[in-house]
Parts: sequence; structure tokens; C-alpha cells
Amino acid sequence: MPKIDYSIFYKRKIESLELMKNIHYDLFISAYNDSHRVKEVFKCIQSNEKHWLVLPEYEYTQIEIPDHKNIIIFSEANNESELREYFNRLINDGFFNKQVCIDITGFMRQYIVFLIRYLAQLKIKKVDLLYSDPEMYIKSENTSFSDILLEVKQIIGCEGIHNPETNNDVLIIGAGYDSKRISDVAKNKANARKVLLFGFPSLQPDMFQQNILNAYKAEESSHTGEFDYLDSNNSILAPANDPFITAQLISEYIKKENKISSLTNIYLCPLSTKAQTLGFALYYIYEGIYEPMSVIFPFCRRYTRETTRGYAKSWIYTVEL
Amino acid sequence: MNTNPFNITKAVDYSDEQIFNYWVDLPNIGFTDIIKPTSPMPMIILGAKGSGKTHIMRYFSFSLQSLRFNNQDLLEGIVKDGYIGIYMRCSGLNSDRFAISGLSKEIWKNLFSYYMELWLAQLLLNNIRKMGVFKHNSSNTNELEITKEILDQFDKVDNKESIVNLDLLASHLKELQKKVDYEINNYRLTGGTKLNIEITISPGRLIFGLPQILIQHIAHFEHVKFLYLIDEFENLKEYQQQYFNTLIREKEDPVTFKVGARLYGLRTFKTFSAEEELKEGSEYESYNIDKIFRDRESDYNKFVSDICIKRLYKHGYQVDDGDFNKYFEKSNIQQTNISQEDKKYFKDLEKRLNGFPPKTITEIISNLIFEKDIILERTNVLIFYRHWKKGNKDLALTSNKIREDCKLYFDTKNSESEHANILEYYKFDIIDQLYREIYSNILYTGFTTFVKMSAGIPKNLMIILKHIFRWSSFNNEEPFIGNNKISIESQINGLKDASDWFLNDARVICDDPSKVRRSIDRIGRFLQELRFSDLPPECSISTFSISMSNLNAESQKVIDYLEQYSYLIPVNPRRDKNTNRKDLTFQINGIIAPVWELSLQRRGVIRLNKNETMAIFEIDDEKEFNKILNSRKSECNAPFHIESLKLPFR
Repeated sequence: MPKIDYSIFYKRKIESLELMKNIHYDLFISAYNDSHRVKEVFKCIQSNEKHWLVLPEYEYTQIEIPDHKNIIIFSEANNESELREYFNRLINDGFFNKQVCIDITGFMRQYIVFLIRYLAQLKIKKVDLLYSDPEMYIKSENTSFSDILLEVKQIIGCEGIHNPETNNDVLIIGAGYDSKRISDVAKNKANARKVLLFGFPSLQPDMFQQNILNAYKAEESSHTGEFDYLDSNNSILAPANDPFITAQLISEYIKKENKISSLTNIYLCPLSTKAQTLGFALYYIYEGIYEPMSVIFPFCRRYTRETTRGYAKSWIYTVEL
Repeated sequence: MNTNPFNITKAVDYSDEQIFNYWVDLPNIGFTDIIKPTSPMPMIILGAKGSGKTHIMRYFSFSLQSLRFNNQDLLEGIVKDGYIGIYMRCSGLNSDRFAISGLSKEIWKNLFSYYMELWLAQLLLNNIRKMGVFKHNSSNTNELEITKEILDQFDKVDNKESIVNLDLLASHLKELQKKVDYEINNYRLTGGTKLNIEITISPGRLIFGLPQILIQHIAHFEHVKFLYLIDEFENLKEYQQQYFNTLIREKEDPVTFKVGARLYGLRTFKTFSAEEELKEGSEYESYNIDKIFRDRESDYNKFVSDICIKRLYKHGYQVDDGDFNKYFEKSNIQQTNISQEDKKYFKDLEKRLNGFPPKTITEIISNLIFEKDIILERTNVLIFYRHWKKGNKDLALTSNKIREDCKLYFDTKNSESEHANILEYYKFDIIDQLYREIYSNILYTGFTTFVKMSAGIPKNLMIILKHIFRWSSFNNEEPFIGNNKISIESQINGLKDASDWFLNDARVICDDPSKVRRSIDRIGRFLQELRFSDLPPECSISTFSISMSNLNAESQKVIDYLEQYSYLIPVNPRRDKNTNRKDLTFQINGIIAPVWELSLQRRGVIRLNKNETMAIFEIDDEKEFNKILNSRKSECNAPFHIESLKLPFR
């Protein structure tokens, strides 16, 4: 059994936007992008105060930014200090003593990891995180999510305490549709054994197959030997919409591997669904901070504003930090 | 399905045991003679991705030494080797942590230097502990004394008395390293203003001091070199490389360094000593592994054949050591049955002769037909274009002369004839032309061809073979068993997968990667059009040269990227006949040559003029590129009109 029993965390499903209208918070935070599901949830959910965060990597111009009384525009890409200041301000304003919900759907993955890590650092006890499933990705497995790679590096706050010995390093990649990024991160930690974490069950029935197709494109860098992704030594299957089971399965996998032969360094890279990204972050916070473990990420110049169609349902994950 | 013996294509995917078991040395002057692990002279080992740097460096690491002397006395083995290899991967440092805003460069320099002392000392100590020095029969060394002496290198040590052996010393170093990690991580996370780290040791006191203490106390180490193998150097920031350059400059006996880096991996040669640069020859020597492989062609061929044989044997295949080519199906263009009407080169010629009287056209084509030998027939067409370009007025008469010459050559094989001359230089081009015209595909088949395609990069060969094996197994051909042959179809499909992999994998990380990608595509297309023109300007086209004076900063940058990421392979520069200056000369990497149907030979060199250089490597506009390309094409295609282009730039 893992050190933490992640199954005790609470999650609930909201089946429609109509039902979303019955949910109430003191503060609702969301990252603005062109997704129907992001905008509609922001509109429907009930909250005393709602904040739109505008992230620089989407490159919105002034006229594209929605007209809303609480717009927080971050100006510098890949710079965590503005996010840090924003959350410090919320704490000072006492928001985290109230009911707060953060919709992570529009946040880039590196932001999700950082914000969870930072909230843990601030000793925020409990927060609700919301994620909405799409009906489909715009171009199925060929959907483009990000453009030019700037650098693969550790996410701030998730650097860990590393080991000079590197002969049994492992890199767990949450394998999403962005095969180029899988390949980028795999090449960056070329010496580490690669383990791919797939979303299964996937958000929609066809998505698992599309996921495998994309992972195959990155096969040479992300895999050793034959293309045997469903081999339990090289892959983990975790529900695409469940961060807690994702965290639990990562924890169990690492425990199992450590029993066989002590892992020298562990790298985590969440490139799959944002719910799973949350799972990676939670696992790191609970079990990785003081270990030879870090969360690495391929930082890109810009990200696509809309990659999906429709709204399927939402999940609210209550995270205790 | 059989396990694919070529599945593992990267050294990093090999365990130490596999590196040991699969090790193959370069014939004649082997890797030990190249790397010279006992030489005090530091070395920079450069190589393209897949050239085998990591494989070679790991072979000299302590872990591999341990395996080599597994059944013997390890300490005696180390003495015999004359060195201890302390292997470090720079990617394991996650070095970007040591470079964030808010603190001065000087602080980061000092912190990085301190961290490296702790990091390298831990690696060395781990090796010494595994060696069992103090349990050795002949050992009369005092572990406590050594430990104390190492601790004395520090300006300050808490609870010094409690650290009484190397295990505890290693734990102490680990704790110090953890403290640095923790403080830096915390600083970055919280946006703090200062770091609470006390640097307790001066630079070099452990990296050089620890080996010096060990040789003083342990008699076995008297003549042993402590070899720091610093791999993946390209992962370090500029100032971090400067730090290692400084160590190289200021190295103290018995320590030496071998640094492994990608071709683009060296950011600076500067040291911290007044920013002076390291001097090659006196302070370090450097080797480019893939260049060594390319320069020593026959050794490389033997080396990669041996790798393949070893892999196949290890996977249970009883292959013939002598000739790998026999496992691959060959094609013979002479055996092709094709009707005159389907011969594209005659159809094209007919089109080119448009405007001549129909009777003349029929006469010319009829003269050039030579049904006994399709290669000679195609040679007739090439020779005809050659005379046309020379300005021969009576083309019917010319074709008649070609007909007579062809018959004579067929009967006598006269080496003085024009046919002999053309075939000496253009035979492979003519064969490729025929395949292209008849089958729409030129064929790259056979082991020798694949070795040539790998361009001195063993990984590329492994990837080609991996994909071919995969296709062959898929097609139920049972490759490398008995007299089975891998079909041409499997070879073609495997090569295509390998080329696709290379183009996907070698994505350049820079501000404008699309420009780099576009440039390789343009130069590929440019050479392709010339190679398959009516009268190619050179034989075996895949190489081009550029005058340095035709390059500006932007195009130079693109070419640098293409070279660093091995799209282009530099070849010995040739001298410009007019200016006597040497031109930059490159060959398209063999693994992607099939994308543009280029030759794998390196004979003719296409010299790019200034406008062509700009059109390929600098300007964005596709129309301008096409205009320049068409201008060059018109020189090589009948009726050979040389248009004078008005160029829109410069």
C-alpha cells in the first residue's frame, strides 16, 4: 500500500451545465481561454466573486480579453511570481478561509502543478478543483496543443533532492496527445527508463486509442525495446478523469519498482489530462518533495487557445493539502 | 514474432551489464587508444547524437570496470587499468536550478562550484566504498585517518568527531547537498530574497584533494589516475561549462577529465581565470567520434558489422560473419521487362524534341534504342542530351553516332569510349534514374548501403535495421534465418520509417525551427532536381559547397544548426578555383537522403552561388526559391536555355 491512501479524497460529478447552476462558492477562479466548456462553467457556476486569470502563453490581445470586473492579466510567460503574488493576495484577503474553487480546465499543466505546490507551501488546508471533460478533441489524435519548445526543466517547487548516482533513474510521463512534447521530455532525461501513464478509462471511448497512436509517434525516444505499452513494467493505466487514483497508481508503481531495485532518481512529467496532472502534483506533494524526485515539463512559447469541442461533464475534486 | 535484435538503439537504454556484454571495439586503433583513459591530458569527446559517446564513456566508468573484473580482484583490476572512471551525467544535475533571477551571477557561480564539489566527491566516494579497499588483504590503510584528512579539507564541519569512516563521510556529503537543494528549491518556490547556504569548502578541495589523499594512503592507487567522465555536457549553462573549463585548466595530478558533448554542446571555452579560453593542444585535446568513424571507413564498416553480429548472436541467430548483404534481397534493373512505349525517358525526350520534324524525332529515338542492355540504352539518352547541350546542330546525326558507339562499346567494352567514360562516373545515377522512371522509387538496399547511410553514426544504422527487421517480421520473412532474404519491400518501408524518425527527432531547438526545417527541405529539393535533370551537372549528387563570403549571419546560423543536428555532414572543404579560398562543403546525411532520392556516394559537389545560398538558407518566400531553382534547372534540362534572372534581392 502507498504511504497515503488517496482513495479517501472526495470527488463529485456534475453531469450538466444546468446542474452547475446549483453549485455555490465564495470565490471561483478560472483561466480564460476559448473553450466552450471553460466559458460556460464560468458563466453557470454560482459564486460571490469570480476571477478570470489571463495567462500570457495564450497571447490574448487587449481587445480579446473578456469584459469582466475581475480580470487578472499575467504578463510574463513561464514566470511564477505573478501567480504567487495573486495567491498571496487572496490569502491576505482571507479567501482561503472560505469556499474557493479553481477551475483547472483552462490552466496549462505547469501552472496546475505549481499552483497546487504553492498552495501546499502556503499551508492551505483544503481547496476544490474543478475540471470539465470535453466531448472531443478538435482534430482527434492530430490536435495541436503547443508550439515551439523553449526548454525542458523542473517546475518550480518540484525540484526535489537529487542523487548523483543515475544508473536506475525513471521518468514517468503522463502520455497525452502531444507526441512532440513526449519526445522532448524523454530526450531530456534520455538516461532514465521511461514509463508511460495512459488515461484508461479515457475521457471518451475513442481517446485511449488516439492516445496510443500518439505515444507511438514518440516511440523511439520514449521507449526501450519493442513497442509494448501495455506491459505493466513500462506503463501505468489510470482513469483519465481521476487525479486520486492516478496518484495512487503512481505511488504503487514506484513502491513496486523500489522493491525490485532502488530507484536512483524519479522524474514525473504530466502531459496527459489535467485531472491526471493534478494526480501527478498531489503525488509529488505527498510523497516526493524530500525525495530524489522532481516534476519536469517541456515549457513552450505558446499554447493553443482551444483544442476541444463541447462540454461533457465536470468533476469537482476536493483536495486536502 | 522473434525479438528484434536492433530494438535498443541508444546507449542509455542499456544497463551496465548490457554495455559490457555487447561491447565491440573499433578495429586497429581501438577506443582505449583514442580515449587514453590514463593520459593526464583532458579530452573533449564530441559527437552527433547516436555517435556512441555515452556508450564509450560508460565503458570507461567504474561500474563497467567492476563488471570487467567481476571474477577477479577489483582493486588489482583498477591498478591494471591504471584509472578509476568517475562517471557523471550532467542531465542528472538539473542545472537550470542554478540560474534564476534575483541573485547575482557570482552567487550562482559559487553555489554551483560548491555543489559540484559535493556531487563529484559523492560519486568518487561511492566507487571507493564499493571497491572494498579497506577489506583488501594487502591493505594496511587506516580508514579513520583518510576520513579525517578529507574532513580537514572543509573550513568547517559540524560533529566532525562522529564521522569516522567513508560511509559516514558519504552521508555527511549527502546531507550538505540536501541542504543546498532544499534552500535553492525553497528560494525559488517562495520568491525569497536570500539563500541560507554556508559554503564550507573551497573549489577543488574535494575534486582534486580527495584523490590526492587516497593516493597518499592507499599504495595500490600510487599510479592510478582519477578520471572524471563528464557526460552530456550540453546540458550545462554557459557559466557552468566555464566552471568545468576552469577545472580542466587548473587540474591537479592524479586527476584528469574526459568531457562528452554533442556537436552543438560546447557553449564556451572560457575559464574563470580572467575569462581566458582553454587552449586546444596544450590544455586539452578533442575528438569528434563520428568524424573518426567517417574518416576510418573500413574500420567503421567492420565495427558496425561486429555490433550487428553480436546482437544477432545474442538473440540466437546463427548469422554468417562474412557477408551481411546476403540476407537482403537485391534488385537487378537489367532483368526488368518494360515495353518501349512505357519507357519514360523516351517519352520525355519526345516532349523535349517538340518542334523538330516528326520524322527526325522518330529517327533520333530509334537510334537511341538498345534493347540488349537497358543501362546502355539510358546512357545513350544521357549522351544525346550531352551533345545537345554542347550545341550540336544535327541531332539526328548525333543520335546515329551514339547508336554506332553503343554497339561498339557493347561488343568491345572499349574504356576510351564516351560510353565507358559516362558509365564510370554516372552508372549509379543512371541506374537510379531507371528505377525512378520505371518503378517511381529508387532503391536503397543491402547492408553496405545502410552502413553508408548511417554516416558514421551507429545509432542511425541500428534504427534503420530495427525498422527493416520489424517490417520483415511483419511480412513473415523470418529475417536472418537460413537463406531467407529480407524483401525489397521491407527494406524500403523500414528505411522510410527510419528517415521519418530522423526528421521528427532532430527537431532543432531555436527561435525559428521552421526555417531550419525549410532550409533542409530546400537544399534537398534543389539537389534532387539537379540529380534527376536531363543532364545532371555532377555525378552522384548529395554534396554541395558554399563560399563563406556568400553567407550572412542568418544563413550561417541556419547552416550551423543543420550541421549540429547532423542533417548535414561536413566534408573536407574544397578550394574555390577563382578565389583560392576554401568553401564549406556538406553532404546530406545518408539517413535522410532517400527523402530526396539523393546519392549516398560523395563524388560530385554542387557549388551554390550567392543567390542560391540565400534562396535556400535565408529568404522565406517560396516563390523566390522556386524561381532560383528553375533557373538552375533550365541549365540542366533540354533545350538548355540559360535564363538571366533579375533577382529581387541584392
